[in-house]
Amino acid sequence: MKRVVTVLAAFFCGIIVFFTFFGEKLFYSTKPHVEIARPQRINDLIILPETAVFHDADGDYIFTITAEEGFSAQLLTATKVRLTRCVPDETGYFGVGYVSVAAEGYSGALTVVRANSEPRDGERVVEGE
Amino acid sequence: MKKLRFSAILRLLTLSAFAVLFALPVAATAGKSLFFEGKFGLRQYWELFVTNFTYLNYFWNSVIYSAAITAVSIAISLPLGFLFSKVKFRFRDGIFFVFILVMMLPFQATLLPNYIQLRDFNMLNTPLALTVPMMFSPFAVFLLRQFMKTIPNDLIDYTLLETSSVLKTFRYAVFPQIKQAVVSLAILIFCESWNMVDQALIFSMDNGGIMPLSVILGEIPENVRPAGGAVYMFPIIMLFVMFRETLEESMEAYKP
Repeated sequence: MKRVVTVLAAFFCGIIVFFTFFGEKLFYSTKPHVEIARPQRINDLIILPETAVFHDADGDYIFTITAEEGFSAQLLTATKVRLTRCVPDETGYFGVGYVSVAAEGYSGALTVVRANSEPRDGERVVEGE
Repeated sequence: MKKLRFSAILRLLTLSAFAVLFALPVAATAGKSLFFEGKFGLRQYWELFVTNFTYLNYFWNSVIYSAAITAVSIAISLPLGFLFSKVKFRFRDGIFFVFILVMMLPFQATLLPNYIQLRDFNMLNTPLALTVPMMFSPFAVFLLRQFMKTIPNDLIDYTLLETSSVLKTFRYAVFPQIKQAVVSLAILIFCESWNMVDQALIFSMDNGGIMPLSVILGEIPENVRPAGGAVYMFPIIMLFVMFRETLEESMEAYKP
């Protein structure tokens, strides 16, 4: 029994020491890094950079962000929003590289405008490079 | 014979029921920590250590406080216990009575004087506020005195024939006799300081960063709370299992 507990104790100490040094690093390195911004609005049009729009076989989509204050850091959760409209910007204010978008219930929430890797729906992301 | 067997069974059942009652919360916490969002695994621990990475800062706060309190408390209590048990001087019993009196007072009664002292020494909201008041343990002095009283005076006298050094006398004649008691006491003090809540909340109310884990445990997110509780319990359970025999032996060895 004592030997088992000694092994368990050593294992426990190892885990505690490992995560003490690497816990924070793992938090920031295992999640997609994203740039977040609120979309620009011109009249009734919502304008986003092209890099904010992702594509799959079913069409275009973006990721909105829900921010909540976590125990150790701000927790950002990405939610996939399917677009009903995505056309190049015609307002003339932004020009090339910007698109005018529309989606059900989407009116200007915090949006992922750039990501180092595409997040999954409901995945936690980290803001920054 | 039948009556005897019946009473033995009844005793066993009662003790087993109490054992289960005591073990149930611990087992339930450990069991729940293995499920995260309904899935079995160690994900909850990952979330605890990675998503809530500052949890371990508080864990280390607790380790440092408990270790410091235990070490200093034992270091102070050993000579005081020896003084009250083996050295004769005027008003010894009177002073010891005051010690016992302090031990009998509930924490709330000494809270205000402690607070005022810490404030006057500019120690509030510092780690010292969480450790220094607990380093002076009348209970430890009392317990060590009781153990040292069981050491025959002749043994100390023989040692004094060999050396005039009090430290050597203490080391060769007294310490080997009370080694188990010191280990037991160290475990008890460590557990007590590991579980401190009130003094941390009051003496460090404006500095959340130095709080021990016992205070922070209620603030961690609910989905990782069982894992947090399991990690919090583990050092204490580990200490108990590793030193259970020493604890039991020291209790058995004590004959008032």
